[in-house]
Amino acid sequence: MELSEAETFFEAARLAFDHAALFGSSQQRFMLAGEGLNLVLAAGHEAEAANRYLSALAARPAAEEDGQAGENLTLLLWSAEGTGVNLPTPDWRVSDHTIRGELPRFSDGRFKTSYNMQSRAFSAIDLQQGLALHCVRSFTDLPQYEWGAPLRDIICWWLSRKSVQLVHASAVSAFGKGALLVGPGGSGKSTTAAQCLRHDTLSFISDDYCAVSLRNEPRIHPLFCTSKLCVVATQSIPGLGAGEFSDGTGKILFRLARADIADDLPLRTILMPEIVDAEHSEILPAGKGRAARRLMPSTLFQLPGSARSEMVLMGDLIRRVPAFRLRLGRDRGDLLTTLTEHLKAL
Amino acid sequence: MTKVPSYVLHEAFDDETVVVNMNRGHYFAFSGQSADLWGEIVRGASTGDLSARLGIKPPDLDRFLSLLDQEGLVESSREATEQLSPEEWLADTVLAGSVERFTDIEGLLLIDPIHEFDQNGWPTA
Repeated sequence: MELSEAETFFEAARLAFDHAALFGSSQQRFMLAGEGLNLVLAAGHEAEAANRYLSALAARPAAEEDGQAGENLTLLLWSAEGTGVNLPTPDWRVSDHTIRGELPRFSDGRFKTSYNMQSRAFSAIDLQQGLALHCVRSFTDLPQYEWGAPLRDIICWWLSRKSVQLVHASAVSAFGKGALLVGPGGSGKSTTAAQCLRHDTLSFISDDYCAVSLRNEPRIHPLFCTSKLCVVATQSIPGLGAGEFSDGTGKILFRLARADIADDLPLRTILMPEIVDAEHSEILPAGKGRAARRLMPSTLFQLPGSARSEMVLMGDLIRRVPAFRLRLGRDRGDLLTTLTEHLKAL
Repeated sequence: MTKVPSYVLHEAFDDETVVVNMNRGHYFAFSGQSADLWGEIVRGASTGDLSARLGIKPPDLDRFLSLLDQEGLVESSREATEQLSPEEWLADTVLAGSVERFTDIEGLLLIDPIHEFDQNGWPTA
């Protein structure tokens, strides 16, 4: 039987990984967003950087009872620089990439393929086999957004098979109830989420990206242990530690301890932060359309997948969860009280 | 019949319909009669019927369709006209104020990335 273009390239890339792993590899098994992940890493002399890259995942070690055979994803990850083993030469043109880096010619119902020209990161998945490949040119050359949200494409593809949608949103929680924070850059999502770190009642779940499952009741799943904040915002957040990167936008990447991040929780409210010229914060009811505009376009343009099915999933999410405007006043203590009271009342 | 291209995604809510042009990185909020009109177009209604069915004067409908055409939200054979904002297209019509356009994420698009190729044939931006 003739192999499809997607399968042919996937097999060639898998052989390249096998070659890279001849010089040594390490394995880890952990859980992420309720899914088992077996990760095999061949990084050669970039092993330290690779492990630092992977530490941004909000994963926990897998227990014996976690996952069943056949349901886990096996991810083969390697560095071309670290191992000296490159990917096969691609036989596609730059114009074959979508704006999200996907390669439709090398993607079908079974295989998904993407290549990010900025970070020089290749990702592919065989959904049928539960096998994924990720090759970076060099871990040390990756831009800030990759360090903040590693393996994003593969996680997105793998979770989508179970109606779990990655979204461009921050998230916080209290009293076992989660709140999604949606809005454009500069609206206050990240700062609001970071204010909840190590708070007595509120908890941080995610900054920038998280997963939302819609199988039964909507739930939020943390994916990454990172927060990107502007310098001014960091001054009011104690215990953040030293930041690592600045990407030219003025935002610094902070690594968070997994213990500082809440586990997955029911999603009970969608909040749309907006900075206002007022002392106190307040939360006001908002229309579904406004929430959709704050969530859908930025998610659609940043994450891979079938845009149409993503739009339907996010529409379902917005119809099922109430939405509110979160007017952010200057008094940060008041903001935390407002958030706490809102979540308590839901 | 006016057709919606595959790169235009839309989702209707009680208060408004969100329409995204995935090619241009623009998105829109349609409310009131504009949302009703869009819903009819998506369902494949003939533009000839829309005016009478929704009680919208033909010149107002024509300006709405010209706006959709300009923004690439429908496939049409209309000749290109001047570039106007939604507010300008719909000024002095019953649809005034019912369409908002947002362009804040168009910077995420790599419409024509500058690229080179590494020694292994992989493009780099």
